[in-house]
Amino acid sequence: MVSKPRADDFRLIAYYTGKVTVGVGILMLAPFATALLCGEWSVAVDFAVGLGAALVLGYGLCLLGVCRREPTWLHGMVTAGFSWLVVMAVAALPYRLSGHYLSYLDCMFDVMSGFTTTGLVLIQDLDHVSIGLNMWRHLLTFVGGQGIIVLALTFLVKDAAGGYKLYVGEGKDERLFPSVFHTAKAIWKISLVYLAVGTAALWISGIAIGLAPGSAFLHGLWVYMAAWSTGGFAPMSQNILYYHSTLYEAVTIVFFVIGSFNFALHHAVWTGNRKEVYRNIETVSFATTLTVLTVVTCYGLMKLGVYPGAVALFRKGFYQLVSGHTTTGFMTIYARQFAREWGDTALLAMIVAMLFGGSACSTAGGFKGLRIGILAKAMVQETRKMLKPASAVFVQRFHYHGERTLGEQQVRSAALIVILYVAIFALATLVGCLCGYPVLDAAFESASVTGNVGLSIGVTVASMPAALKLTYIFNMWAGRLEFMAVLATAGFLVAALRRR
Amino acid sequence: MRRRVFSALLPLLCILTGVASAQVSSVELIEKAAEFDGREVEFRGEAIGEPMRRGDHAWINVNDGANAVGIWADGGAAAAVRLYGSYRARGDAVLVRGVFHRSCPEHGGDFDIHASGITVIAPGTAVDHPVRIPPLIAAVLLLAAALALHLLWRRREAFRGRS
Repeated sequence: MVSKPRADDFRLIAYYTGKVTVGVGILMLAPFATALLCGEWSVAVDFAVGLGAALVLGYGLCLLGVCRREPTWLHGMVTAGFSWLVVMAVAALPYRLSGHYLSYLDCMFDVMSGFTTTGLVLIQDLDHVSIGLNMWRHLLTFVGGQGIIVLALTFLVKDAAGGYKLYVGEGKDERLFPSVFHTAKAIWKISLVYLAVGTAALWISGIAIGLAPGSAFLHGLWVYMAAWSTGGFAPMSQNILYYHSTLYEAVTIVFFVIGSFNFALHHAVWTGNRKEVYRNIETVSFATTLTVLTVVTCYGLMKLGVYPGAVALFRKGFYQLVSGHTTTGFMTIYARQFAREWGDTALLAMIVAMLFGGSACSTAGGFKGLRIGILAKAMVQETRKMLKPASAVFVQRFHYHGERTLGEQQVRSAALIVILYVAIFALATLVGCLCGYPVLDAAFESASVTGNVGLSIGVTVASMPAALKLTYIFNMWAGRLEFMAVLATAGFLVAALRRR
Repeated sequence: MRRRVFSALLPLLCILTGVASAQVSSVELIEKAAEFDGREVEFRGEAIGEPMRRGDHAWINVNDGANAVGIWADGGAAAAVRLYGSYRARGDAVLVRGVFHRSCPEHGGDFDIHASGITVIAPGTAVDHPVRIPPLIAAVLLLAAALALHLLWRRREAFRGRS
């Protein structure tokens, strides 16, 4: 049990949370400048309010939190968990001022959905949203994909020991370099190079499908940001269906699949180790589960005759599946079409795909391919043990940036995280059912929030009960941070409330 | 004067002539897609975004307040729409008559309406967004406070660095 926190503990957490909040405030300069450039004066004022509020709160926390102690793992974890909640409230301010939301809770829901790269939205009248606000929506999801702590580490936190603890608290533990700061910078470098390539590809595709060059650029930039971060936001209410284009859909698939891969895998490929792509347990796991689930989904859709041919099956069936499996959430159908047309088999395959998710240390959510691969290997090992003499010794190996031997600890921690994912999935499904939704609809939406996906079957609307919105916010937060930071924050709060 | 009377009567005319084809909302189309599939329908809403020309046809998207639906129209019909909805404008309100496809075989399974005619029933208008004074005052005060706190924090950090 955590011992009762002292004033220094609170100061340290306040200090780092303040830095993250300042980072998010500085980020508001981008939509502020965009609004000014586009002559959206009232939008610029909204962002000036947001920027001012974030900086006041951030610097206020930094001043309150000045402390000479070294941060421990607990501080790193609690800061990661707590700062996500603080920045959710702060970043929601421009949303509220825009007049596109019915309540502040809806604004915070959309911010959490953006930061966690989920992609579900409660925004009203999206087709009339300003360029500045759309820039903010997509920037939130782009930064959330890399991690807001990674952002703070890159620019604001200079303390190496505390930095690594914060980094791990955000659900990432890969070190591309010995220094966590170099790792954070490498993550940004990879993302920004792809940003240039992806935006250019979607810009050209946009012009080719008939968009005006100016809007093709903005749509390309925003859709790329949402694709790479496996976020799923789009500037128009129809999401990717707005474009009515196989070309545009194909380009987005390329970038959200790449975005769902581990940053360490990108780094390996960039440094010349291309074989890692074929050998890595995560890519093998992803290819296997995607193939199996594609067969099941297509079988379910073909049995019901939902789509008229192979092209339609690819553009509607495969697109939603790969979008769900990579936890992106881009849609080329309407939410209610899942419920009305897809049938149980395809929906179950979608739920499984959304829960499985993408790769560890990527922009994606879900169980992650690494854990699925480890648990599959452990199953094989246990089966072999049962079939062979008791004296036989088995060594199970797997490839993950080098050959590794499967150990008890790896299996235990993978199983624990998967169990926790299943537990919060079950919780949100139960709350959905209690709110009156059919079990399959509740399970679909629950899988979507738990895996930070963003596909919807129609449950997520502004009129849904506040209890369900809060449950979904919790699931998005816990799923994105992979529980450790959430458990540490909960433990810290309980310890703080204890009498002794 | 004649034009004004005609514009005023046009919606009524559209409703009266709409007896032959079903007048539907996007929610009805989505919820009862199989029922309307392949049928002539009438759909009304605001043209949003921008037209996307593909050869001698174009895609336009029309939002009826609940959802936007893709309309596949020939260049002439699409040209009738002058203003599209965005942050700066309420787009033309249009009445689309055409064949609805739950999963269009011609367009890779898209949910669309192939328009035989598009009528503008109310022209769009520009929307002004004046700067509101209370947020402007709040922004000035907050940014001033942020600057003061930033300077204070920098002094503290410099002091910590020296000691």
